[in-house]
Amino acid sequence: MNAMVKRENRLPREVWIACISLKNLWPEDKIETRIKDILERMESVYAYEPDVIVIPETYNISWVNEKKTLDEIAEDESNPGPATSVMAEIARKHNCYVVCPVITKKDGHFYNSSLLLDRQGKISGVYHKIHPVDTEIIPEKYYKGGGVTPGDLKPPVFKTDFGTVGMQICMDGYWHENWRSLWKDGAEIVLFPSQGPFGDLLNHRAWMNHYYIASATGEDARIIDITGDTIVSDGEFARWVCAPVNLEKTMIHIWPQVRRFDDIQRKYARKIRIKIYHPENWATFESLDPEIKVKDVLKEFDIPSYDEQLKEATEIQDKYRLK
Amino acid sequence: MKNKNGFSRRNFIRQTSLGLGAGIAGVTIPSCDTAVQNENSRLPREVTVAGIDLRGLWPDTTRESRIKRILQRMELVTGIKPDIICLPELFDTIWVSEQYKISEVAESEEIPGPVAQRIGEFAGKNNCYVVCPVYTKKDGYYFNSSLLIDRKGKIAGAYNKIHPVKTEIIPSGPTDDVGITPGALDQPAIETDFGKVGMQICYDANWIDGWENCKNKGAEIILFPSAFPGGRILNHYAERFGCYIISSTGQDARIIDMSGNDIDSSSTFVRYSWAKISLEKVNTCTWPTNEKIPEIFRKYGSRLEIKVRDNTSIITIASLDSGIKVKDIVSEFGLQTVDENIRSSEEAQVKYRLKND
Repeated sequence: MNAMVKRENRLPREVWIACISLKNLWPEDKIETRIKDILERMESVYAYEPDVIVIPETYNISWVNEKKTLDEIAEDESNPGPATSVMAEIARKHNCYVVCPVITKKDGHFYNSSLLLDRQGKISGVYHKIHPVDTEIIPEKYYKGGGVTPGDLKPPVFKTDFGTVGMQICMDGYWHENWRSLWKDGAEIVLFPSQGPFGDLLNHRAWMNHYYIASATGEDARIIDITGDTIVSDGEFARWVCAPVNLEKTMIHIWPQVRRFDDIQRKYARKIRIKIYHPENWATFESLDPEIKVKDVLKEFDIPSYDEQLKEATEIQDKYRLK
Repeated sequence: MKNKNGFSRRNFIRQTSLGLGAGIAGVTIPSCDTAVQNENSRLPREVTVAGIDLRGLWPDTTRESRIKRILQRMELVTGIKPDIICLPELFDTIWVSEQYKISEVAESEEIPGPVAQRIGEFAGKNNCYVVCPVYTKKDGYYFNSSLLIDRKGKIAGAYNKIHPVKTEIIPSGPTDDVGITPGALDQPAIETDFGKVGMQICYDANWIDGWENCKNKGAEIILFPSAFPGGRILNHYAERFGCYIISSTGQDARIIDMSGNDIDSSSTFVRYSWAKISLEKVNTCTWPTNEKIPEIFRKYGSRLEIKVRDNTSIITIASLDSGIKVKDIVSEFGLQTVDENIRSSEEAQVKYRLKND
């Protein structure tokens, strides 16, 4: 567990993320009990003053015996409905964003959604699960009173006061394109409410797209580094996690840049943390000084970002490849 | 994953616990490790694979020294009677002090040159395929290649590295009298007597297209000669494309299962990796396979290997009985392979997605 750091003492781009697991809270009889249980579990993280809290997919109804029709449980995407209002209150009270995954209804269609609630408890973003399971989509197969409509293929990103975030839900994990799209649009953290934990696949999504992933699922809760390393995960004794991530951090390919690492370390000492991932030939650069931006250091030492390096290589390969 | 039957995940846990209890009481859940102990018992579609790493062999003084030392290391794995051995990228020239010119050492892609011939002799003598990565020349262009030498020592196919690094393409070093041409984006998988294989080389690991192409061409094993090890990048491709990966690099050699987990890797004292792998194996979705495990186990017992891995959302099923095909098991129990699951969900998604959303 990470020692709590007061907001005023954090690095400029340090973001504290909390994720709540649903493990051992299902099956449940009543929606009301489920909401109460989740709220109780969330209480453990407030002391850390998180910037954002993620709770699991359709948190109020997943594996709950009380069956209502989609129309009865669907919430509005502009004005918080019952399950959203509860979380909006938490967001206001604890001055944090909350990812609130519920069924929503828009223009007569139902969606498996994630609502992003801002620090005032207002709905500041809506994501519709792009890839629901077929049984969710086909009416009456899984849900009473209909099925959910798959979301638009291009997932949105949202600007928050700490950075740009994207969202993905459960089975979205299998489709690479959505995750890549979030990377292209500048997501720095992807918030992942889910029923299934998706294991290593999430770690791979993180390194492939160089963003953090925060997951809250039916089985676990995790925060994953831009390198794919799991920073923290829940367990038997705490079904939640809360930890900081530093958005002033980037991943590069080490070759041939590694030759300059000693000079950088000599100049910046503890202000820049360089970590080498030998088998993958990667390195991360992380600023530990409020005054230093990683991109300035990379520029000073003429080091391309990972994506810049691959872009240049691809252009050269395409130029010399036989037609 | 959602399940239309309600809370079967919980029921599953209960049933599995009972199953494990039975295991402790005397019914053994089979594992591949135990199944391969007996050298004479072959798994259905069993392939014995090996990778040789280059660690401790560089820098080397001459190409001749390097080739001899690699052949010595290859001898170490002959005892396991490998079906295929993978060697590291440009194994005869990489990190060798002797000055040479690429144009002088490049070999043919069809008729074994001096290096491929020596490796071919080894292949013929040991009745195995060998992935022999050397510089090649074709139609006046030079490639960083992997030649697949067959059991008779002939070249069964060649792969040209799709994504060479910039300094390979644009001559920059003392040995680089010519530049390396990037290989074609679309290259075939190569047929062997145990199944189709694909190849990727080193820097290719940073692009997904070549790996995807191998899968689309039907490769069940992807061979990865490389200078750098690749680490978790390779594990991801194995899981994502449901292929085995055999790596042979400057630092390590690994056998990676289609679930994305390492089966074997070289170590400080053993500079090769090997395993008996079964191509009669499939990645299935956690749901509904997890619900059916007790039923499958009751019927097929030790004739199947079922691996439930907490670090993935897949369950692998392998046949340990030559009379059982995994596709029949998938069909009999109404399971879904990962590929099928994605395909069927995608069909529903396309059908129901709003056109103007």
